[in-house]
Amino acid sequence: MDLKKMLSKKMSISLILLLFGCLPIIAQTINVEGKVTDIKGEELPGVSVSLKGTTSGTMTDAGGLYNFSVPKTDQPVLVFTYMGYKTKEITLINTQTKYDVVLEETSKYLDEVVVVAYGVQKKANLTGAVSSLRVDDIKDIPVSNTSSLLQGRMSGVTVSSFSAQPGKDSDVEIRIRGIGTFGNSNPLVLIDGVEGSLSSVAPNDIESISVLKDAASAAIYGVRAANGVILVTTKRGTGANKLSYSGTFGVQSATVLPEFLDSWQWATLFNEQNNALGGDAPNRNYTPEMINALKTGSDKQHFANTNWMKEIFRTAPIQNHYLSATGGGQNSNYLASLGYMKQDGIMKGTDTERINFRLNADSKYLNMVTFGMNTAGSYQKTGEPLGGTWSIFNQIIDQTRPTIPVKYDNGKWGQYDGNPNFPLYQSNPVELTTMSSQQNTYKFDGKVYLDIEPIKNLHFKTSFAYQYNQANYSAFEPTHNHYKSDGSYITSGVASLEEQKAQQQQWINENIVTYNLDLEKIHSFGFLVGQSSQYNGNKTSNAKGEGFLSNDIHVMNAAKTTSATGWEEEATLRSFFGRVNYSYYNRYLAEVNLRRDESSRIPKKNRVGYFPSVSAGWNIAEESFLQKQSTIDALKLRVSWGKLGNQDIGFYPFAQTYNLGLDNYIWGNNKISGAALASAANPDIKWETTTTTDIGLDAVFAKNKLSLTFDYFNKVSSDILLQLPVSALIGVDEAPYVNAAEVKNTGWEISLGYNDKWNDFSFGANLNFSHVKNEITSVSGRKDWINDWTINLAGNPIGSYYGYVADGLYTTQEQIDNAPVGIGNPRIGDIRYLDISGPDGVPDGEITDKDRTIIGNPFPKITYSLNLTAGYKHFDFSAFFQGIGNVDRIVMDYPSIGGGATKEIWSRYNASENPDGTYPSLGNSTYNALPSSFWIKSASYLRLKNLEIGYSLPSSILSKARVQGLRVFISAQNLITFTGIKNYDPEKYAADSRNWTYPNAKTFSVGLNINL
Amino acid sequence: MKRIKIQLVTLIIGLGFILPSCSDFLDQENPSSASSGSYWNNKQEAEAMLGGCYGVLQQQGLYFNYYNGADPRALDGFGTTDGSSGWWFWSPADNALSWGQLSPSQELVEVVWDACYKGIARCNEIILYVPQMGPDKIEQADADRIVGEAKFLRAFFYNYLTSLYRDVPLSTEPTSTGYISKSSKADVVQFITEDLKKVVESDALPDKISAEERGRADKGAAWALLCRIYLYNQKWAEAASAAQKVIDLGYNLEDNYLKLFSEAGNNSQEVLFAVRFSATIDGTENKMRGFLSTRNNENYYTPITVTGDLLNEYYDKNGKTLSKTSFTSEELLDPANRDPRWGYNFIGIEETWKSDDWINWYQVLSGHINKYQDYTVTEKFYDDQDYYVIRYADVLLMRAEALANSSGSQSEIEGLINQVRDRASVRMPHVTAAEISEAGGILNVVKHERRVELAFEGHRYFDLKRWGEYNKLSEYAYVGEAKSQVWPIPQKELDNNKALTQAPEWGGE
Repeated sequence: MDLKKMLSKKMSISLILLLFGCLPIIAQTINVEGKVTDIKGEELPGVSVSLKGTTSGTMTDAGGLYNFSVPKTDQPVLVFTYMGYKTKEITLINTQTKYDVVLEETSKYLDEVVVVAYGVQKKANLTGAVSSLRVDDIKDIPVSNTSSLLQGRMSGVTVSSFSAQPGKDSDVEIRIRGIGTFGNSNPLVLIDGVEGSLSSVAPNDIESISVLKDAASAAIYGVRAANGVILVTTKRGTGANKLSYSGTFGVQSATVLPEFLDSWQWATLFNEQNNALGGDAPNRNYTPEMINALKTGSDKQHFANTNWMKEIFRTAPIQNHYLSATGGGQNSNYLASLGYMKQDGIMKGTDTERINFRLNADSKYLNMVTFGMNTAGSYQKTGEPLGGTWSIFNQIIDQTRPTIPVKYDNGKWGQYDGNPNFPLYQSNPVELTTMSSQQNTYKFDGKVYLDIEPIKNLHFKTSFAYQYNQANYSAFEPTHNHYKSDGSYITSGVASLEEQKAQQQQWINENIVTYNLDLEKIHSFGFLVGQSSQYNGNKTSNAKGEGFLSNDIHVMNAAKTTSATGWEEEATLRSFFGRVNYSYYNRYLAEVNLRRDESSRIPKKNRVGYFPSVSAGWNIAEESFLQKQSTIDALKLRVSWGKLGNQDIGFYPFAQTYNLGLDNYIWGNNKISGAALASAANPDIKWETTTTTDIGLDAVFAKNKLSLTFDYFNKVSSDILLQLPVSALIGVDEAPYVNAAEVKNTGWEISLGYNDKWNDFSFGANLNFSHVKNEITSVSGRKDWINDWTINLAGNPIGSYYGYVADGLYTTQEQIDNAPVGIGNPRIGDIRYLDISGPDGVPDGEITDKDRTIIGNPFPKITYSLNLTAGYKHFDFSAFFQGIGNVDRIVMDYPSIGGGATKEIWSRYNASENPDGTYPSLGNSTYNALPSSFWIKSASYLRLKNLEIGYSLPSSILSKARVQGLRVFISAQNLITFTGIKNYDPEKYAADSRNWTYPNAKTFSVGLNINL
Repeated sequence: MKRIKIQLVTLIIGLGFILPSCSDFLDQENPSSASSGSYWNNKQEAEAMLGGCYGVLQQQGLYFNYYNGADPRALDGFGTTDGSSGWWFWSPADNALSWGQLSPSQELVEVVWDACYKGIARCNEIILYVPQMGPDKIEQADADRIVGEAKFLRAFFYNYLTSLYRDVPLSTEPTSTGYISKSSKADVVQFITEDLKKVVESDALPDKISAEERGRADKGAAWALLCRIYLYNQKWAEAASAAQKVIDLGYNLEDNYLKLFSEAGNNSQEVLFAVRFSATIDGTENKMRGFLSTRNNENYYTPITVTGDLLNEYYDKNGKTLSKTSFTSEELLDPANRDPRWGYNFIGIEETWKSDDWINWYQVLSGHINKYQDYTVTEKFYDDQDYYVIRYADVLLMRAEALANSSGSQSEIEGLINQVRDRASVRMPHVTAAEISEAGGILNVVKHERRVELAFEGHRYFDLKRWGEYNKLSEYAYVGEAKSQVWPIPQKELDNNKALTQAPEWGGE
């Protein structure tokens, strides 16, 4: 689609309109001043003081004092607003120039405003399930990826931080109310209304985050919303000019590293394994002399004791700096910010560095036209070892022996040990961390909008947003020299260079009309209609060069041969949407939404989708029979129902395609660009649809001290698009998509809050608890599909662990003799699999595929968190605990000896050495490593995620230095973890059976916030 | 006044935005690929599709070796008494054949099945759509040639399938479900041989291709493939006459046996059909290299050990078997005293014998594969070596075998064998009556010659299967004779294809 064509048609008129600049109003002024305090008489600094109906205003200083030149108008009204306090309006009297004001704290629940789809709404009037988060409270936690800040903060939102690798944003996964699709389950993230990723916004730039959890609140986003919606609102300037700085500096180390055996133990087990394997394997054994050398360290060049995991990890710094300038004048306001983040990874060879900026500005003309813009950009540089960190871990776990020294005495990297019967080099993991690939990411986000209010409460809002991301990847793999301790070496590999450029573009144009109507404070209506068009395009090109003359020249031109590939994809979406809210005395609430989507990703005949929702609320506390008591401050019952869609299934999921350049061939000396059928067509596919019903209750008790939110939900995703495996006779690499499955997520969430204050001491506690049950309710076409360790089977959660049921180990010959026949040849010390079924569904005396069953659950059913906060005079304190329950992981210290071996393996069964061993004996790894419950462990954990103590300098000191606020703090992340998992971080990926993912980090940091 | 103006403008903009956008906004064509409706516009596009068919030959399950091959040479090495698995290696062929894991869910039976049917599906597209293009898009001769090559390849893939799985579904045009039931091996063979015969008897293919087109099938390749299919299916007369057609086209043996299996041999006229591999042209490593031909100087780092059984098959230089030889066992380790192909095909024999005494307890004599190898360089997989599928010596021996099975002329059979032995760099003594009687018949002499001439080229596993010599297959020890005759149909295919049933030997009906 031609961008230009679309734009010229759409935007030209609005741009012309922008030129309707207006002359500023010039008028006389009067000077007023005063002091703002709270009920206890404490001065409130930073209170916004403005003239009603204008953007003209100022702020109170550290002593709560203000001084304001008020333009002369008919009936001037001063408005005092302050976060967490009730807004107060004072009508100025002609003769008076001094006004002292006392602000009352708000009842959090009744007056809190939350961001919802295309607007804001009082929490009291919400009828959908929305969680919101004020980022101010957590923005100082040092992270490189904003997503990880959300972990545990909101009920129903499961955030898994699978690794702490710098720059690997996808390692932090967000799931809202379970998993409802087999494809992409990531929620829609809208940053000021524009699709983006959380990791590209600096936490300090964020004003608030809302999560739309049910269909009623998200239906207006239609086909993009099935996985839930996260709305991020960035800050805008207000009041007097203000300059702020915040910074943190921290040191990180791995939460947990595997404990490996010493090399002599490793060699002993290696021999045991060889002896069990038989054949020629024992000829590779380590002799008793060698094992002695490993034990005593007498010949470290040839018989070392290296813990490779320890060698590649380190304590590494992380720093964040953020500088912002905000302010607002009579007609306009602005926020300009600059952020810098640098993180060295806890593993050598990994790091990231990012610089980002933002400029948000608004300007108002004629009291009815607002023009605004958001611009943000960032540059991020990320380095990791060639082949990814996975390849280093794999090298340590599976290949490189602990008997090899990190370096020989001659200074060369160790690659051989002294065992002459294994004369092959083994790559040195520490050396591999010195060869890295680089990714440079450039992001630009821009949005302009125009809001016209021609008559009161009627808004016409049009916006255009454009986003451009580019990622350049470059990796040079040198030829490798494999040294022996005597300095001799051989060379392997071909020097090669890989360069990739990936470019993403997005634009979205939205046009919305809203109108609010209040009829005598009894009936109040809100109307919204809108239209939007969206374009997404991706383009990637990849070049590879091989055969470089030396390892020092890294340009494509120096390659002996080069090859290149590239591809491109585009998608468009056009939508119309509308909403009506109604409230009767704020007591009975109702809302209806409807969205109509058309997406290029769906074939023409099924292209139009309608996504409706209805919801209702009853503010029981507003009823007369509850007016006379004072225990219950608020009580609201909510019910909602709605439908959402999912289009995130690739760009052309329905098309039959011939791919070009798929399998090239050679005729003569020429390359024939091979074309071939790549994917089969299914012109009948339609949207995935998710239908959610939600019943909720909000309550506030005891003078706003205690609050409760409870939700029950039932979410059914149907017509889930799957690539069911097809017959090889079709000849395609990619099976066609079919609408084939249905998944149900049901659960409940509860949030409990308590806040209180006694003189100088304040205390707060927030508890979140969510339970979600995931179940595949039907899979048409076939019964199940199994992928190694996992199965998708109707009646069970998505991706359940699947395998044999293990009943300890065989311990006697008698057991072996009476063992069921079938797979493998178990010996004493091997895992005992149970014969639980057979072809007829009953045990048949054989261990076969039929004896496999569900043995674990990879997605946590329970997530919970507890946030404790306290304040005493100028000190503040917070402790944040987060945990998950009812979840499993594969923990397989493999019963074979390749590279490093964890201490668990030492307790293996061995007839002579360790006859009481509880761990499978060595030498029968294909049998013992079959997926079985032996290797499934509960991965529940409770973590002290964040601990922070801060001190704010008293304003009496600060005011002398003309500083409005200064706070210093220390914090620690992931300080303590309670879990049954040893050797690994419990938050690892569901498919990671050993140590293939980067662990999480424990961080200690200090920080500073200053406001000028 | 101003207020009214702005209201008006707002209204106009409002209408402009609410009106539907241009209708083609939502019709996005994939810029990276085409569909059958928009394809087939000219010869180049048809040739690109043909390139995709040939490309399948380079894939895993066929002639892809690399790190985890399941190619014909891997079948020889892991699956027959010619080779043994030196150490556990992550290769589908190694796991299935030498470690007794052959089963419907084993990777080997899956990758071979998938590759062959992928090739067949691609050929079917060409065979259906190219004739529909019409003269304004492609000249008839070009269309005929492209379709002819597609039929050649389709016959090749089917022969590979029937040789391993016996009865398989016969898919001859594009299918959207793949639900096609099995045809008997005889029916499949009849279809492909008739199909290919029509091609080779027409003028669709050139007699011989020029060097500029090396890699494409010509008449010589097509007759040779036909000969192989006939021979594999005991159609002796047809096999012999197809071989004669090749001979009549005029081919020669390469004088230098060693040179033949180097990059310099790619262009040899002995090679009738090869799968092309070129690091220079592809810009990637040569995927026919890998663990079977490591092409490096790292102590013959390969998981396959050549067995004494094969090493002892080679005669001494006087044409005597080892039971009749006058050389001492010490002298027999000197390549100068052996059939020269012994020294050409294997390496590291002596060394193993002397230094590693621990090997004695299971292997008296062993060696490493030297065919296609270059142990003098370190640029592991970076070269242009092709993988020969059919070469002239094979054709001569196929005719000899066909004649030997159909009471053909004894002197012609001997002449064919002698022609192979007369290669300038080989010059082994001619067949004698004594040799025939010691072998137990002329057919066994042909079998001997095939084994020593074609060692580790990817023929042995197929030869043993069709000869019914199952006990020389590695899988025999694990699965027994019945299951050694035929591979199981992959479980994955049975799960996804409702029309199929398993082979009876593997529990099917």
